[in-house]
Amino acid sequence: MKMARGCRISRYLTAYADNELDERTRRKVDRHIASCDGCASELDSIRASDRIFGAAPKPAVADDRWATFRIDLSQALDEVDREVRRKRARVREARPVYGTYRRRVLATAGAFAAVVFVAVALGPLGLFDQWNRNANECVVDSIETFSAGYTPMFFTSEDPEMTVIWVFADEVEGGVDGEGPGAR
Amino acid sequence: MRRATVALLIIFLLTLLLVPATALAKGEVIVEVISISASSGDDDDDPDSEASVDPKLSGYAGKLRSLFAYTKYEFLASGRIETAFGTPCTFQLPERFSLIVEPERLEESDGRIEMMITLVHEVEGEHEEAHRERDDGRPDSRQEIVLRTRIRLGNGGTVLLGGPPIKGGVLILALSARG
Repeated sequence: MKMARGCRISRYLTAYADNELDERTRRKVDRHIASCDGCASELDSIRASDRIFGAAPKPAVADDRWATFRIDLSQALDEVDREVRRKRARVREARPVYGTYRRRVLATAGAFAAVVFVAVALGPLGLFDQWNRNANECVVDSIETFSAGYTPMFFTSEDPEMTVIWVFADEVEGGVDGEGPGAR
Repeated sequence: MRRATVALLIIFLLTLLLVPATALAKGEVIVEVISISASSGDDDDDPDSEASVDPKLSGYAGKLRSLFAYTKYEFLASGRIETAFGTPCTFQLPERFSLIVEPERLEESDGRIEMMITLVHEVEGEHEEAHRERDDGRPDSRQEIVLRTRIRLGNGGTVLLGGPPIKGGVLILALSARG
């Protein structure tokens, strides 16, 4: 014989004792009890308890108590509703200006559009050149002179923004003491 | 919500206004040349004294002082010409110098402006042939190409050209180009 502990049918026993099961489940429990001593014993215990409590005297409640009980219950439920509404209001107040999802999306889209606008509209105007160290670099591909007495050269300084193309003239001293450009 | 919509609308309208303007400017180059006279006076014996720079050259003062050893920098003239790629433009400079700048192309890779620069000096009366008068009565003269160079200048950048002697010093040119 099977034991009640671990029987899946045992959870239906209280409802079976109270005659609250549908017909199909009731027949299932009937068949199980016939073969399971544990469940049959537990069912006997449940029925015994029902008999004991059923025989006990019911507590007397005055009619006016029932009336005040309904009012108190209604007031208590109203208070619960009010508290829920207050909590929701506090949550709304605590949200930032751009707290909602739609506003966040709009703010992000606006910022993105502003960046694109600055890059697309102002970039070609050369306004970013000062931020680009390489923007001012100069590459000298060729250098020559067609005049006698001149010698052209070019110099790049440590400052990548400054390239100097210098034409040394034979008859004139350049810079201080004839040192020419880059003397410093 | 409403503010964000208005802000987006304004940005969109500004973009519509500015993008065609930049599109029109594409293919053109603004070339600017500043002529500077650099000299070392006789009374500037102290090599440690700071060179005097014309207030009009304040933007270049630091670079001039750091690059050259002259003691005085004077602003002579400035010119600004808007030209197209492939079209040379000529700047008339002091003392019969002229500078021909021809922007050739804008490099796609790094945005540099490739240009041919020619510094020309009109020589008069230095040689016997030049003393002869032409048929129209004007004194004969010839042009010397003092410098011809091909450079690739960063967009918006500046290159310094200098060296030719002028009265009391040497000529320095600050050439900038923006395409």
